[in-house]
Amino acid sequence: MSDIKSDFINKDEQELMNIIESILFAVGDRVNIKTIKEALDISENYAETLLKKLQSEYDFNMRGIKIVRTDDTYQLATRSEYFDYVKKVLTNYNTTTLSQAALETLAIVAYKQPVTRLDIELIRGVKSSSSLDLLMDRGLVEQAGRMEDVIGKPMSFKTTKEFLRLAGIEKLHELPEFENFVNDLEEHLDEKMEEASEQLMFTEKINE
Amino acid sequence: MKNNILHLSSFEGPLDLLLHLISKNEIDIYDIPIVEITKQYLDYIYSFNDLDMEVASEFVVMASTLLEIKSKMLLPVEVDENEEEIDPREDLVARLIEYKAFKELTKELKESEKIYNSTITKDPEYYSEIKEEYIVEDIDVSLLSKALRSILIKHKMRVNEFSENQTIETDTFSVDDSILTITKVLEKETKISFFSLFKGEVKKGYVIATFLATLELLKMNMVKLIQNEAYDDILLERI
Repeated sequence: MSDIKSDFINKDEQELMNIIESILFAVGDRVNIKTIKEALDISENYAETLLKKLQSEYDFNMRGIKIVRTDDTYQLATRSEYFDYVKKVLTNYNTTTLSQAALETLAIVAYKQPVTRLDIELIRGVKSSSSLDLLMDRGLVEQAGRMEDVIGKPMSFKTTKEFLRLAGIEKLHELPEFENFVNDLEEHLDEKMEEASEQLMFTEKINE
Repeated sequence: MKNNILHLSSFEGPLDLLLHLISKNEIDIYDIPIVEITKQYLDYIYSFNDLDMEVASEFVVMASTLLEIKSKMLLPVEVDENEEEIDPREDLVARLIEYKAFKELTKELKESEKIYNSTITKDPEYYSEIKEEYIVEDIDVSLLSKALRSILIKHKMRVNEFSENQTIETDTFSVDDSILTITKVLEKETKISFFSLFKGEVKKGYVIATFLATLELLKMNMVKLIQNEAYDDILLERI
């Protein structure tokens, strides 16, 4: 099976993929596709194709490591499916999950960015500065410059590449449509309407 | 509210509490019975024992908003410029719907956070800075020497001081060694002069090390330093 597969891949191509793999390992951090493109002296499109191939190869074989893409960067990461085992080895590894308040704030920043602290607080109805600080500490949110056209020129905030990784998406526009979550509500109401009309028909029937 | 076991801290904020009341009463969010909801909302607020104003102030603001809406509902219906009836609840409903949507989104984020937290990435790998342009390979020492000579001549410096094969001695003076020297002397005598520590030709590095050693001894509370005037000799007295 693997023989057939390698036949399909051009030998040079395989080598380039190997090089990319080495680069990703050596850097550890996110690697911008432009860096890879320049290092290999290939076009950005080709670099992307190779990365995709490498990515699917990793996925196909359910390798312990996967390639995570966020925006225009690529990074090696362990496969979450194996975390229970990895955790056993990492004695000092503790993950602290974000609080409800922090997650709400994060969701608002994600959909409303660039957004000021005041805007967040208006939506949530509560003070959100500590949540915002926490998110910045975690590298999920960052400053996005001052709002020049708003009185007092308040600081605005946006999400980071780290957030994309948390949300499990490659690009910001892949976030689920906000409207879907509002429509959910309307659907719920439609159901209620239906229920009500059924109820009405039912009572009519009884009356008959 | 007799069996109210919830605390203010159970809610993320006033909107959260309102959404809780709405779902509990199975109310249509677009048609909130404002009188009933306001009553329930206030009951909740009053029942909280932990009415910490720092936290509660936001809940109180909402209470006043609810009361304002309630009073508006009692007044004759207002119409906007398009002759359409203005529902005083409109703004609140819009806020609730938006907040509810974000709450739903939070659930999604929570799910993806689980995967995120069980995926480990590496910190950026650290490599010490080696600037390639400074690495010169295959140097002919005589060429280097010639180059140096030409530079020295250009700057009218003496050339004969530099012969091709000259060893430059590295002077190693450690503060620790100097401390030992001083303490040894101080074992016998109660006082020594700083100047007396240097006899004959001494290297600058040795003086510096000795001076640092006296400072170190002072810090360790082992000597007292006496100097009558600036640039004068320093007396080290054993404590």
